[in-house]
Amino acid sequence: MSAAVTRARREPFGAWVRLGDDTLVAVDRRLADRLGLPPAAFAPDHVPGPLEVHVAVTARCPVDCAGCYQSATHDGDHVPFTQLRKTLHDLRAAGVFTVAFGGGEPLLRDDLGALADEARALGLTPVVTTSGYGLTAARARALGSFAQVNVSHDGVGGGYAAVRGFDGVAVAERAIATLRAAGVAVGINHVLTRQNVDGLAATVEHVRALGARELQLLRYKPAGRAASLDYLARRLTPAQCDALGETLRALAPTLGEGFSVRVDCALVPLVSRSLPDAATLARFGVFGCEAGGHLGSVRRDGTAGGCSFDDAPGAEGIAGFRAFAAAPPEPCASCPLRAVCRGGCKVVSRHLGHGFAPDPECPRVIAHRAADASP
Amino acid sequence: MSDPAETPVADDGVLVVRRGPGANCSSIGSAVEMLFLSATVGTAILAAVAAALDPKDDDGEADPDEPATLSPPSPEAP
Repeated sequence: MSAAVTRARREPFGAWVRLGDDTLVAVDRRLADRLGLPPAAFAPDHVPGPLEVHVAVTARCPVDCAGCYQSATHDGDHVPFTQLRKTLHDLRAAGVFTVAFGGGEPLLRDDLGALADEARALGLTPVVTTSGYGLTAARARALGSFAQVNVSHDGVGGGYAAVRGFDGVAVAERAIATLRAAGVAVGINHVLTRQNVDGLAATVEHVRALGARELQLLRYKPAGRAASLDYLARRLTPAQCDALGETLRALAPTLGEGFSVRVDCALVPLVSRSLPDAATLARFGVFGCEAGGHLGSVRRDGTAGGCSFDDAPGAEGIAGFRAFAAAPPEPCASCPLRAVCRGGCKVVSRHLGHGFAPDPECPRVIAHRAADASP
Repeated sequence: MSDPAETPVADDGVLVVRRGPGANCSSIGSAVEMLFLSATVGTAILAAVAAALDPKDDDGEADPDEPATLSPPSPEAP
């Protein structure tokens, strides 16, 4: 196999390959052959496995975020290490590239570093998200196998407290400094709500100055403790969604080397009016709702889901995500971004009573429904 | 994103480039630099990836401590 490739998975189209900096590349069959990848045979009904899987490692958390999507508690259970080890082996066998550990608060596990070591030994790229509570210099040094550790930080100027219901900024920023001192790559998880979105530019500058190399923007999702009426008072307004797309467009060329901003799968429809054509987005690996596709999850009980928010029993959710993506109704069916967006966030559509349906907060869906409703 | 099988085949065999890994445990992210690429930068990124993957540049004696990396150019101002 080519020295440029650190891991590869054959596909009917050719292969997915991973480079040394964790860039994923899909190549055609001819190039896959030239790279020396072993051939593979596929059934006509072959369903590709996920590229990235999110693994819940604990239901325990020392803090009480108002919108915790996992409803974690102070006395929640850890997932047994033996179960997680089996999960990692299963993911490797399925050809998964990246495994993201989440909770609860993963740092409450004394064996978190060992989990990352295990993933690395299997050729997986391990990453993790933390609030920073419980991080010490010694713990940080034990996290060296992680490709990146994301620390939750919902913004300066009161943004953090507005989103989570308490002010954990000092803890988050101490964790960022501690991780950086230990040589661990740090990213930031930043949940966007109508209360903190106006501070985005200031937050970008702030976390960059702290030494983070990435800011991951997350849409606020109505799951766990956030699955309540309060969601309606926290979600971005249509005007904020429109402004966000243009804010990101202006931000992109200013980021330069060494720092990146990412949008999550659920934000793609909200900024869709600012995006280029689907072919360009697809060429550069932009992911909309990949639940049950390139994305998967493993719940605390070890069962598989379409994404971290998929709480449907068994594989029902995965089947629902896939069926929707294969044949969505209007306006997704004729949307030029359909192939990338894949209908937006089903966590939102299900919470708002639409089931597996076009994202009701997508501006294109809103416009379509308004047109249908007009006489 | 769409199935790579549906992406037009480039001469160099590169169908999709996705920068990673990202480290969020609840949803999957995409770099905003890739959302708003100019055609020039996009072409440069694909060319850089193709060059990194070019088997004829591979002497088969890679240093395991120095994995191949890709550093696409920064997006230019629109």
